[in-house]
Amino acid sequence: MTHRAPLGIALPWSTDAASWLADAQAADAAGFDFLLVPDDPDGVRPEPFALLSAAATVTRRAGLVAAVSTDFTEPYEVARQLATLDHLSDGRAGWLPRWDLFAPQDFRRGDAARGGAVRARGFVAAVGTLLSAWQGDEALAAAGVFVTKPDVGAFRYRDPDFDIAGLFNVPRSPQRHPVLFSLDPLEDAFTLRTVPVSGGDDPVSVAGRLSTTDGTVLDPRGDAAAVPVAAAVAALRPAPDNQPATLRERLGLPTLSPDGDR
Amino acid sequence: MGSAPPPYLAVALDGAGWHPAAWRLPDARPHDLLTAAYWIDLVRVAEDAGLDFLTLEDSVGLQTSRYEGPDGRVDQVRGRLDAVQVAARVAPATSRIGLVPTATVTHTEPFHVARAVATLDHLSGGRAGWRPQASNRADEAAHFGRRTLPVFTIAQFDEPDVAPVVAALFDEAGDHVEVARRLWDGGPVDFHGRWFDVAGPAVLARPPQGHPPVMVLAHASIPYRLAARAADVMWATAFDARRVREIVAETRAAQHAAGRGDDVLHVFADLVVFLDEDTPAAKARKDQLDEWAGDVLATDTLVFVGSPAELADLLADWQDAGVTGFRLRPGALPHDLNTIARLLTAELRRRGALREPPGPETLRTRLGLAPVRGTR
Repeated sequence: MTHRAPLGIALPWSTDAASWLADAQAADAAGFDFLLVPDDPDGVRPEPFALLSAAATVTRRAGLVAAVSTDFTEPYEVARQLATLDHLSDGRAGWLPRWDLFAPQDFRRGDAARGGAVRARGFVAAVGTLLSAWQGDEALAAAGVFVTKPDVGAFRYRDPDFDIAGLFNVPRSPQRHPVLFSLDPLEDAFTLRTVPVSGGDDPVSVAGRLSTTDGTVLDPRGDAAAVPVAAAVAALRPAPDNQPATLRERLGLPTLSPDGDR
Repeated sequence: MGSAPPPYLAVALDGAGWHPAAWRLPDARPHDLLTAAYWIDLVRVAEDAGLDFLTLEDSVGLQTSRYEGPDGRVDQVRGRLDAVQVAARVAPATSRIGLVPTATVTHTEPFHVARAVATLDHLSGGRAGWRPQASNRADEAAHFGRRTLPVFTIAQFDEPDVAPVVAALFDEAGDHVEVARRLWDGGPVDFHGRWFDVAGPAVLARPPQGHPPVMVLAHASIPYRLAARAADVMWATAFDARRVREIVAETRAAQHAAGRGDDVLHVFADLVVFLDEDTPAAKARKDQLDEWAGDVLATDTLVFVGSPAELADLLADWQDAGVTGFRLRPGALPHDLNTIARLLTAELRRRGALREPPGPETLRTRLGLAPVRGTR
C-alpha cells in the first residue's frame, strides 16, 4: 500500500458562512485528508465544533479536525462535542488540543489556574476516559430494552487538576476515539507540521515542503487566493489505494479493539 | 376572538419523542437517533410544513425519569448528541425554519456558549435561537467537579432551604444571558456580578441577527421572572386555560417590573401532543405507550390526545387566554411530527388560523422582535 503522509488544510473563518462552507467543500473535493479549524487569538474565533458539524453536511471524505482550547473548558463538554462530531460525520472527527490561547479575564472567574500545559495533558487523559465509557454494545433497542445495563456510560477520572465521575451521555461513536493531533511530538498523538501557503506560491515548490513522515497542515493565513493553490498541491499527490471511511482508516491508524483505548 | 393574528407554531424535538416508550413504536427509528440522516429527515418535515422554528433538547447528564438524578432504567432512550451541533449539521440543509438548541449554562463558560450560538446564526443565515437551561442536578455537577449542588425535586422548589438555591441558579442563568449579549455586541464585556467576572474585548464573529432570540422554558414564578428579565420568548407549562391566563398576567407584570414593558416578549404554551385522524386512534396509541412504560405519562404540562379539530379548538382557547404561540412536543417521532405537519396545519388553514410559512427573513424579524442596532 502506498504510504501517503497525511495532508490537511487550515480553514480559518474569513468573511461569511457561505464562503467558508464553499472552501470546505472545495478542500474535500481536492482530496485533503482533513480540514482543520484553528482557534487563533487574533481571529474572530467562531466555535470550531459548530463549524465542523456544518462542514460534515457539505463534505464526504475529509477528516474534520478542531483546534480545542483546554484552558477554561472542561473534559466532559469537549468529549461530548468530539463524540457528537464523530457521529454526525460518520467517523471523520479529530482534535488538536491547544493551551494558552485565551486571556483569563474573558472567563467566569478569570482563574489562571485553569490553564497551561500540565492541565492540558490531564485534560486529554480525561477525555480519553470519557470516550471509553460506552463499550459500543449497550444499545439494544429491542424487546423493551433500550440499553443493556443500568449504569451505562459510567466513568471516573481523577488527577491533580480533575476529579470527575458519573455517566457520560454520548454513546460510542464510529471511531470511538476521534484522532488526536499535536503540534509537538506527544505520546499517542499524530504529529502535525504547519506549512504556510499564499496565493502567489508555486504548488510544486509547496509540495516539496510537505513532511514525508509526519502530517502537514497547509495554512492559507486568511489569504483567499491561497486556497486554490493549496488544492493544487493536494492534487499533486498520488491517489490513495483504498476508499477509507473514517479518519483513523484514512491516516492508517490501527482500528481499536473493543477494549482498546487508542 | 378571531381578530388576533394566527399563533406561532414551534415543535420540540427530543430523541424518539416525548413519551419514554415512543422508541418502541413500529415507525420509530431507535437505532438512528445518533445519525445526521434522522435529524435531517425530521427537520425537513417541520420546515416543509412551514413551522416557525424547532427546538432541540440537550443536557450535560444522561436522560432520566427522576428529577433528582440517574434512575438506572434500561427501557428508555439513553444517550444523545450535542444540540448546538445537531442544529449546525442541519443548518445547511434548511433555509427557512428557525433552529433553537438548548445549551446548559450552569457549568459552561458564557464565552463558549455565546460563540457557539453566534456561529450557528452565521451558518443558518440568521435563523438561530437559544434556550439557556439551568441545571440543578447534583450528578451533572459531578461531571465537571467544580461545584457541588444539593439534591432536590421540583416539589421542593418553594421550601425554605431549597428556594434560594433555585433562585440563585436562575439568576445565574440570567447573568449568563447578559454576558452573552455583550459578547455578541463585540465587547468589551466588563461584567462583574455574583457569578461572573468577565472583562475584555473577547472578539467574536458578530451574529447576523445581533442577538439571536433567547427562549426560556418556565414552570413557576422564579423562571417567569428570568424570562421577564432576559428572554424574547417564554414557553409556559400549564394544564388549562385558566392557569394560562394567570401565567400571562404574572409574566406581563414581571416584564413591566423589569423595565421591559416596551419590549416584545412572547408567551407560548408548551404542550405534549398525540395526534391522529380521530380521537380513538390517538387514545389507543397513547394507551399502548403507557402500558409499555408501566405508567400513565405524567409530565410538567398538558398532554393532548385527540384529533386535529380538537387540538385546533384547544389552541384557539389558549390563544384567547393570552398566548401568542405554541411549542408542541410530539409524543412520538416521527408519527406526531408528521400529523402536526400534515393534519393540524390543514385544520388550521381551514379555519384561517395558520400563519404564512417563513420567508427569507431572520428569526428575530419573524417573531416581530425589534432589530438590534447595526443589523438588518
